[in-house]
Amino acid sequence: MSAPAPALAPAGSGSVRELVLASAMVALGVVTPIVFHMLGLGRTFLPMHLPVLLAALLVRPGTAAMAAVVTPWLSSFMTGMPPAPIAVLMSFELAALAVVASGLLRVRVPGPVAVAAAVAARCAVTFVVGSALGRWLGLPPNAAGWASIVAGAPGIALQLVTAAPAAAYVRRRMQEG
Amino acid sequence: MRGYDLDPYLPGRSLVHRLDPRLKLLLLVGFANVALWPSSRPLHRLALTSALCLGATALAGIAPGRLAARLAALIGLAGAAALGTLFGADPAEGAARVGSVAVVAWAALLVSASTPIGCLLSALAGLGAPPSLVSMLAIAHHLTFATADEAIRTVRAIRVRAPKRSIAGDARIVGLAMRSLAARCALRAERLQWALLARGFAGRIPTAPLQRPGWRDIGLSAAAAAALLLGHRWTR
Repeated sequence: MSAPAPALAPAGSGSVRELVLASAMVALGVVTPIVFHMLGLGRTFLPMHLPVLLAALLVRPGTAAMAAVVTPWLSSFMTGMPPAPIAVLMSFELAALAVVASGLLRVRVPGPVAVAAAVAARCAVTFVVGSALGRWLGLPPNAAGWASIVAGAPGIALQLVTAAPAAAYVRRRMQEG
Repeated sequence: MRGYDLDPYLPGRSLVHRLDPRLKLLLLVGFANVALWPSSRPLHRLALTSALCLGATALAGIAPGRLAARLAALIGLAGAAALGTLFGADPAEGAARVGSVAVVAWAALLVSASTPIGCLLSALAGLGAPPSLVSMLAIAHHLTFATADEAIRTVRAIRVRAPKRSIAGDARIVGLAMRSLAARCALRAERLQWALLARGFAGRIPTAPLQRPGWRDIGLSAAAAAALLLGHRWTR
């Protein structure tokens, strides 16, 4: 749902625009958790998910998926959070979030519905990942899976409420120049 | 950002610093596989991988405390492992598993502390990573510093206008800051896109070509790989 590139744009500039815009959202994905930690709000708000969701609402699924995979790795490299092995798991979660949101927008599903479906898909992946991690650590798998979803409940609410309006706001600002 | 250093690279002239970045990445992947592979002697495996990691850190001349400070995020995982003992999990095995995750995280931190980002991007390109992925990493890394700087100023500015602290107030500050930051990021991306296109950018950020690994690189990597393989066999 990105705004069309200006008529004077050279061939291929659409993909460059998407690449740069997605990169900007990756940068925001590195900085957002730091802002949340600065204000003492912590990881229950899933701060890294918001910019990835925003990227998914602004660019095509392939680019969004790449941004989703790259974000935890760059954050891990630059800030040490999440630690490298956890970044692998987060890549799967964020990729599900980005691909579903962006894919549904491509088939003209309304923004808030796409966000809700993407969050549901991400929760499914989180459940699988949480269960596997729980089993590995000797915890009851189902309980660990549910706990990993419930721990991020405030973040889920934040995404459902803010992601689509924020994407609309960004799109409007970009069209205004 | 107080407490957050966004550039993990610690300059040095050690053997680890000068090792070919492609070999470093390959060794990191191999090390992660060995450390996280199921083992019948998990504590032995943890001791071996920890020793290798600490040895490499000492060889790099990096103070362990600088890397350990970045492992605080693993406390939650350690808590989960401790909880597992209440459900009958073997405490030693739980500790070894959390330890193995910590050791892999440590190794990744060591690679980032001993390799400049430019070399890592060149290594990724050299190992066959898609050019668009390397370009995205390069652009995002460049933009992160500007975004972080802007985030501090935005949060401070909003705080000055609403100095009274409360949960609702903080949530509002974060909401406003995030909205403003997202819009500014998008506008910066727009400007950057035109600047890149004007310079002939076609979707690929050029990375510095890396030299072929020298004999010292190959020897050091072979020694590390042999130690990993032997350790893997011993603790399988």
